[in-house]
Amino acid sequence: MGRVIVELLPSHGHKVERRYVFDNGSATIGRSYSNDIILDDPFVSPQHLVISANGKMVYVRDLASENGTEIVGSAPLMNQVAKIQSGEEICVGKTKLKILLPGHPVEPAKRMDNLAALRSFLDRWSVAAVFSLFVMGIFVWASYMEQPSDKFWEKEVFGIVWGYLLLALIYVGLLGVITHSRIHRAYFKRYLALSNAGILLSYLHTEVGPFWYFGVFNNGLIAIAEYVISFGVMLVMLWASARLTKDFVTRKEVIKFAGITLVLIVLTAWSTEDIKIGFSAKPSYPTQLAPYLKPWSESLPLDSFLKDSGPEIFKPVDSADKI
Amino acid sequence: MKNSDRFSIVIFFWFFATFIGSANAAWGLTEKAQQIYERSSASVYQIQIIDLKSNEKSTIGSGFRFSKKGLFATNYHVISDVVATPERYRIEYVNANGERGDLILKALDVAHDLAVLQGEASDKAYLSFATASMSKGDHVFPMGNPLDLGMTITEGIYNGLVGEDLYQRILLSASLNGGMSGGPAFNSKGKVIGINVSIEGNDLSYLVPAEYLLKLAGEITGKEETQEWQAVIQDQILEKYNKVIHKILKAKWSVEDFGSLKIPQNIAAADIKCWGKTEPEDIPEKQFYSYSYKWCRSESNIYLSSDFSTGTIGYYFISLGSKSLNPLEFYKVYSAELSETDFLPYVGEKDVTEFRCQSDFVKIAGHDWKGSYCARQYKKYPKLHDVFLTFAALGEAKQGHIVRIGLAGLDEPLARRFLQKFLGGIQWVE
Repeated sequence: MGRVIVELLPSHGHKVERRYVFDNGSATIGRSYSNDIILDDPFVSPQHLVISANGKMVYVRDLASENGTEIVGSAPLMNQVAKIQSGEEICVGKTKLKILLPGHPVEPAKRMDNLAALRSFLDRWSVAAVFSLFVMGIFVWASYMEQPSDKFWEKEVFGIVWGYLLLALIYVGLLGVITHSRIHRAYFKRYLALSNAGILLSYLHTEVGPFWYFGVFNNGLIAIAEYVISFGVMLVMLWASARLTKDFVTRKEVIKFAGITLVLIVLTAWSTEDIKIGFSAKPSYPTQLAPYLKPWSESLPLDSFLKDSGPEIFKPVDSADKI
Repeated sequence: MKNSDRFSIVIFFWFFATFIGSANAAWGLTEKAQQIYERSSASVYQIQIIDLKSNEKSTIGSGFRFSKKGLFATNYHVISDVVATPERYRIEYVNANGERGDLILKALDVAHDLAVLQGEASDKAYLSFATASMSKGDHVFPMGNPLDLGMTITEGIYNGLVGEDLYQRILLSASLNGGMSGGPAFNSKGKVIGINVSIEGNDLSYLVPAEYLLKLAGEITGKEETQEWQAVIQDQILEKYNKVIHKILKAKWSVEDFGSLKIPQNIAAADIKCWGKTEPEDIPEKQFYSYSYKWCRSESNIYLSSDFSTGTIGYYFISLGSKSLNPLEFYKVYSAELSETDFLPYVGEKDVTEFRCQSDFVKIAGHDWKGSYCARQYKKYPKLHDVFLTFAALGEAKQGHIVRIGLAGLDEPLARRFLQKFLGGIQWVE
């Protein structure tokens, strides 16, 4: 009889909650205090099961428990013995356990890699502060250049800073609350870095936008592209969040967040002028102009532009419009 | 370059709109005015639009009897509610003694803002029209019932005719007020020379020359009682535009320099007035780009209902440039300017369809432009459209030109003919 290891798994996720090591190769499991592993699960019987290691196999014996012992993927044991391999999971009551033998293979050690270095770099307060100030500076400058005036520095700048803080902190707050509820750490600085990166990325996109859309003449299409891009940015941010705080935001949750983001974006899209269903008294036409760009094919002569436009606009109107 | 700056110069009040101001200015009735008042007041009435449900007046104006057969004259804008929703309103006249009578709409002319109403034929007094022509400085005596205060007469000075041929108005220096719309204005002999219609600025008033009323009344004889008013209104607007635009198209335009462009010079000086402004780049003053614009707009418009006027022509030429901004920053300003949509008063969903736009790269004067042509249709007048067109010149890093044109209430092919000539007239100065 060699050593056997039992891992207590959480009901969600993969992070091992507790690990028990038995050098004598066997352990009793149940709700009673006489057991080696005492489970606080009302669906577990006082004397529920015994496991014992034998060579390369482990025997699981159910001790006539109320709800039986389930080896994941096969029928529950009721007062029976079953043989399982190292690494297999069993369910008792609502509790999941993983049984391992000492020879169970483990992954080779990871190097202290760039990602790890990045994590510790981002965890510095000075980095968080400098990066935030930098992004906020860009934000403020861009707004100033749109409508330069002294009034800006006296009044409007506060609105811009407030807007930036809201934008940055909403994301940090949301993810922070989730990770904190799970592992009692908010990863404030890492999320702040990501939030800043997202804002920076969005800003760069608005700068480059006119170049993308220079030759697009359908405003609805532009609006849709805009939403797809902001959705993409959001996904990248979520993915990066999961990478930076590994194990605490799972892939499943990223998908959930992506779903929520998608709903939010669709709702925003719904309410904007370009894709709006309601009546708009203003014409919607492309206003994107970019320096240096010129049409890549020959421009239309004026008369054919005008000649085509009228009939194009007044193609058979849907019956609602005819009075 | 805010809209308020551009339009504050011309503030236009419709007559019946509540008007706070010089309501009780000393009106010093001269002896002449007294005579005219005594002789004519029996023929001048208050016109009331009665809401059928509450049986109370919803709009008031003035009007006068001008024939033995019981024809009354007033402004179209006084009775427009009856045209739009006849099932909700009727028209009554009230004289100084409080006597009332029903009126029926007999003819209308939206282009001149006139309406002829039919009352019962009787021996009651009626007014007659002047035959002699007026000259600047002559005295004019408008009458009407301002703000429901009672019949009044006032005195003003004739200042000639303004506007396009066939659609002229008499410019009068007189203090008229809401409620006097539709009332007669007399010459010193007590003959009607025009109908009170609108005011502008301080003590500037407009009259519709009586000849248009006579012409309208002359067309009545033998006409059916019930009319498809919407079709009539539509035709009148189309006719006005046709005349105005064809005249503009026929005229030989001269060109003038504007930035790097040569543009058509004021194309119809009688009706379309132009304004301009230039602001140089001034870095200490936080003005990081220079701009210059010229904007022109027709002064007259056609009243359709209290929240829907049409018939205006307007256009902008804008030139932007910058030395201090980098091209990216400059193009932000340029794009923002391209998204402005002037000349488009808010009109609700009940009156117009949404704009449909067609955009492309277009070559004008040997240069590439990004252009959009947008149009919407009037729901009650399907032959009428609002057309909006905007063009931005491409290819220069720190310089831009925008042309923006709005035409309200004309048939769309006619708009394109106008635009063809107008934009075709633009040249580039190298």
